[in-house]
Amino acid sequence: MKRVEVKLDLTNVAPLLDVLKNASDALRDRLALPLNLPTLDPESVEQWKSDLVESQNDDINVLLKLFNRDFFTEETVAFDEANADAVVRACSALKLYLYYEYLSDLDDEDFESDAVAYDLLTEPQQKPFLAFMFLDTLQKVIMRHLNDLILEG
Amino acid sequence: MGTQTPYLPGTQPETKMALSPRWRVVFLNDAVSRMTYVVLVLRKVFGFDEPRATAHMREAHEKGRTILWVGSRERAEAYVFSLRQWHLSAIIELDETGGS
Repeated sequence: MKRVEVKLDLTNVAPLLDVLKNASDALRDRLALPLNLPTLDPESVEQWKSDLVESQNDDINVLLKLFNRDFFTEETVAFDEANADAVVRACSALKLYLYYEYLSDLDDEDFESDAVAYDLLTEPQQKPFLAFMFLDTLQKVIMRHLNDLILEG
Repeated sequence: MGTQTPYLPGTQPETKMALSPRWRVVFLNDAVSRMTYVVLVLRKVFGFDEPRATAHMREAHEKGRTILWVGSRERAEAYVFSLRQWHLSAIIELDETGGS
């Protein structure tokens, strides 16, 4: 089974875990990306919301479990076919939350081209931005190494 | 003796093709999702090859939206639901062009 292990620097990552946990709590009952489907009847919209929130939370739980007690001793997280899809989706959900909650006033083009000047961020934006970039990096690593697994899964 | 149904002008049954309306799955660009992620998800959900997925991603990036698929409402909704599970923004809308 193809498996990717990533060594992380605990001193850099540990402070971001609170941000991820808070984002996870905030998304407990809502979608990271609001559902805006006027063509759906209200009953279906509610059913979709419920199903999508459940799916979103399942994925986020898979991601957060990577940072369990073992992580604090081994400083390593591992991805394989059992968790790659869920972690990639969870990264997207949390990135969307962090962006719309803290970072949406940044210039879109700077954001898309990784040209955001960290020093110009306000203090409340700094940790969410670092958490966003951490999730973005995890996503890139998984997609680079496990793209085929995700496509076949 | 058998009966014959008389021919009444104006009551001849018409055969009409009741065409079901067609619906579009439209992907909407966002500032958060990376291009590589969008390509991956379009390949995963629609089975597109990489050039086709990349072309849709580019169109959405440049124009804000791209039509990914046209067909029955049920399948369109299923596709949009799948895209939403991957946190991509998509809508369905009635296809009024009559073509695909």
